[in-house]
Amino acid sequence: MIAEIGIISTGVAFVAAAYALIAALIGVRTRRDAWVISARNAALSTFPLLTVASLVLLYALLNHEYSISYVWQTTDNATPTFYLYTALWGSQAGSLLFWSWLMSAFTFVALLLNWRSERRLMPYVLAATMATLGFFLILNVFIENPFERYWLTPGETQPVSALFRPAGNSEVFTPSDGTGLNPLLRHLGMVIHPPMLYLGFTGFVIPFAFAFAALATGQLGASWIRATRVWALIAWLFLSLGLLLGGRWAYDVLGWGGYWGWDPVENAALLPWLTGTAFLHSAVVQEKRGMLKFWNMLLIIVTFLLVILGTFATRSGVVSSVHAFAESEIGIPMFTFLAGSALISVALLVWRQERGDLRGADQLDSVFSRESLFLLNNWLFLGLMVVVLWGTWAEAITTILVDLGLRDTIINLGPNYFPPVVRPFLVGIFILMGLAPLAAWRRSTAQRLGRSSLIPFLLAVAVMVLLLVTGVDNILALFGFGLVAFAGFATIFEVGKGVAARHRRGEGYWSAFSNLIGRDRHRYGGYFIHLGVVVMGLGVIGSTSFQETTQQTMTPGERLTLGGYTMEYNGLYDATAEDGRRMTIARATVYQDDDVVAQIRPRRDTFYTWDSNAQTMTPTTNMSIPGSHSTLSADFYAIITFWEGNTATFRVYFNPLINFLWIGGIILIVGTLVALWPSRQPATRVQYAPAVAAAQTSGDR
Amino acid sequence: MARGLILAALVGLVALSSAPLPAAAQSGDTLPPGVTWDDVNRVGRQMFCDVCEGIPLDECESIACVQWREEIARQLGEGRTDDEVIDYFVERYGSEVAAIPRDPLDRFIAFAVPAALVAVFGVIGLFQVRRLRQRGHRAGEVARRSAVRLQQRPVPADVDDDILTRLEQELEGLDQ
Amino acid sequence: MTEQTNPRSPAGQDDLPDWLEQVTQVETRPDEPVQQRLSTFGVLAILAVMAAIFVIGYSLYKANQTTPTEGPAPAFSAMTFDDEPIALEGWRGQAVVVNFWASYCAPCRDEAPMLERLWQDYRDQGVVFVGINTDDIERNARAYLDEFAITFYNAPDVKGKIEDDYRITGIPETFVINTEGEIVRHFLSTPRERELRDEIERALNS
Repeated sequence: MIAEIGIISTGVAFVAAAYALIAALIGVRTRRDAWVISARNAALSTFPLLTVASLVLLYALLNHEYSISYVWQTTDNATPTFYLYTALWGSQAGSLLFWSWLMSAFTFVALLLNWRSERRLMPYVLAATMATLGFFLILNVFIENPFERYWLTPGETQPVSALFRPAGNSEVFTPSDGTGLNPLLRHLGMVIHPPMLYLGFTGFVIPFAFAFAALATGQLGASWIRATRVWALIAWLFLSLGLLLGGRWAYDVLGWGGYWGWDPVENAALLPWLTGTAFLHSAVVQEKRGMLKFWNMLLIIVTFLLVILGTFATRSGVVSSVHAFAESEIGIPMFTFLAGSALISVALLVWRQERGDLRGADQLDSVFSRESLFLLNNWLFLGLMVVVLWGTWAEAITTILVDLGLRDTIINLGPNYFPPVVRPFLVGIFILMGLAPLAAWRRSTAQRLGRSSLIPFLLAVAVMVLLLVTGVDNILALFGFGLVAFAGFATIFEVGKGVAARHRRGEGYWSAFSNLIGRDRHRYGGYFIHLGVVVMGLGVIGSTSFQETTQQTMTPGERLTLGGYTMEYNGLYDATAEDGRRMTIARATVYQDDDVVAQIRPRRDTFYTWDSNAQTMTPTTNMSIPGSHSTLSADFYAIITFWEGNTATFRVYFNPLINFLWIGGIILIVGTLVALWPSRQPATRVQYAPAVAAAQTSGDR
Repeated sequence: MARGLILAALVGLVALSSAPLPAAAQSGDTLPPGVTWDDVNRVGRQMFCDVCEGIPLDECESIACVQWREEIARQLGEGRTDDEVIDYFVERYGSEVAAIPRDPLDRFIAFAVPAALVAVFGVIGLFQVRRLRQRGHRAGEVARRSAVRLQQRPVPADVDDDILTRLEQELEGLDQ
Repeated sequence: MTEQTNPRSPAGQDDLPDWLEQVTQVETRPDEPVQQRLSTFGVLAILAVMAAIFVIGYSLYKANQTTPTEGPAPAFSAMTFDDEPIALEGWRGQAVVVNFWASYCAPCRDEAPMLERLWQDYRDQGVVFVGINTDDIERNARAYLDEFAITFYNAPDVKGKIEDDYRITGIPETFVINTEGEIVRHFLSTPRERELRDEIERALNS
């Protein structure tokens, strides 16, 4: 019964999206408003329909409806309720439905909020959002439908999973228990990480839709940016959160002592983040100075295409990665959508550029002006994105060359490749992070910029000298610390200047500070975000340049030393957890200068499943959970790689400053929330005079 | 996400290619004299596991990788250098086994492509900045590429009065 | 798409409020036909997108290729563990059983005695057994061959070319090839002896 409701509601949602797309385009062609209104209503209806479908799936999960194959695949009777909820996105079909639901929700809100103020853009916004939603619903309805059920035909031994009743008097088959969620996914970070990424990805579709509409209609002013600036920032927030959580989960659970592996799927999420960050910065220039229109269009289009590419690469098995989904048939439809939207949007962009419609106030009064630095920022982020893209796709590109006979070998680029290639760009970005807030708009000179940046620069040099004196002799790291410190001091300086100015006019420091932020949340939120990035930079430099690691086999009583800590291995013992996994736990004591600092328990979890052939429980997955001692200055982190009897081989990491990474991430999130907080000032909106608005809505584009 | 699915597939692959991993099967304790795990990991970090996709050899836990690491340890024990060991593996198992290409030409290409792209971007960027600067000097003249006329436009075309006011306010604070 | 032809401001600038136009005294002439020509930038942009689409599409095509279960068997040549050169073409006219294995693979160990037994049974009937050793350490592979007293041809897959050509997804995998050089059957994991015998008979009589 409920499966039928789910099937019908997703089917109708697909029809509505397709209709909305067609009706919007007809409305544009025939310049009849009635079509556009109808398209809007159809688009709005997709949200309640998909909400119903998602609730149906959720209901099925919570009530263990194993006749639905998706429920059977992702849960079992022993799954705790929390993981029943999160199984909604636990597997391909459910996560696609979740994605479609998010897309419809965002479109719903975007349409309602902007219908009147951006009326001229609306038909094409509808077209772009409904095209994307419609495509994902094609996947959801026809290929990966989460409401498929098991049918047993009399005479067959195996139930078959299908959407509609197969021929031959089949009946719905309800297994008594499910398979359960993969153990690696039963972690809080792993549960939140996908929805955060989806929120980020789908969030960027809205600014893209408005940009597409702006290109199509010729409304190339800043109105589309103003309308979607908040969307872009929210999407960026979730994408950043998703990336941070992914890194944290990898560090906590996967047990390889790191947080970022430059894996193709990780890169797939990073790439749109890079261009999205550039877009957020560049949009400011268009709003303030009317410049960089082409850049903003390019950046948001590229971000959207990278989002689709990222989803495609993750789900279609195209890149060789440990993250990638199993192969499914959605590869070809996704590729078609990617190719189609790439061609259409780039063609539109090129057309407008060739016509000169994207010319703005394109003039630079000075190379040292803030606009110039923002322009340089765009180039740096774009370059960084291209370089990471190359590193990820080099294997695919050289495979083609090999198959064409132009080369002998495939070039495969691993994690060691990226840091040296990425560093030059990061250096530039951090320099800009420090200089740009200090630079003035329009006219500026080298001397003026130099004067404003003198004190932060000196402070940064002082930091470098201090570090050198206290024994840090790694030149690269020293330089990195100095750079990051420069950016940090410059940002603090900017904020301090503002506070001081207000204080001079008679406010107390604290009220000056809060009023300053309240007056321009966007800007000061941005400064906090930069400070967060600075702190994260410190964490990255510390944990990369100064990481120490060792692997040793130990018997109880033996000690090993690493990074100023001593670890004494005490012994091994077994235990069984409630969900049936067997844990082998090592006890170890961590000393620092002969003082007991911590007791850590790295362990190995083995999960068992029933093997019907062997008629016994066989071990399947094996997880390595680290034991660690975390302080602000470093993490001492140990995992078991092998054990036999009482002898265990440990791999131990000393990660200095790694917690700065997570703290910086929190500062970044807080800063974004500050930037997003609605301002007390009335929104500056372009109000059309009633007569003009009426004329425009009737002779609609 | 459906990491569940790929992990199931990965487990399936591991199951096909090796026994399900009982703990003791991870024979990790036979090191030749003079070779430490750190040495093995130092080499392994520069390699990929050919059996499991995308996992560096020092982290991979499949039984094939365990044996490969033992072989690395054995070869290091024989006195081979890191490079010789990696080259042996690349020779035998293909270039995908190394995390950075061993062939000097390939390595050059790997690093040259981004360098070339940066150079191209740099040149385009410089030209763009120069052109924008020139326009800045010729106060307010904007040449349209597709039309032949010049246009006097001292103020950007799409600007609100609110923004003008704010601009003026900000400009006030600059001359300090 | 229509253009709002405002004689005072060219296309795309109708955001300009009245008071500002008066201040700046924009001089305009009626719109000249805009030349639609594609500059180098445009051409390069379209080309870049098409190149990217091609790369992605081809990667998808490769990812979707599955293990061959019929059609001509991919050719290969190799050097056995006994330093004897072998090639698939050299066995045209005989049935060939190609088995992919490695010493660390438990199901391979299970099927090794059966394979050797079948080889002994069929070697005089024009059937060749070939074992391809993938991703294995040589000494372990040789130890495995000694342990099971395997006498049919076995060769290491240098640089993984043969396993790539046959697009195997795991081990053990067995291919039965008929006298014309076509794959008649592909076994994923260990075949049952009865089934393998039947397939060999079929390959011989093709």
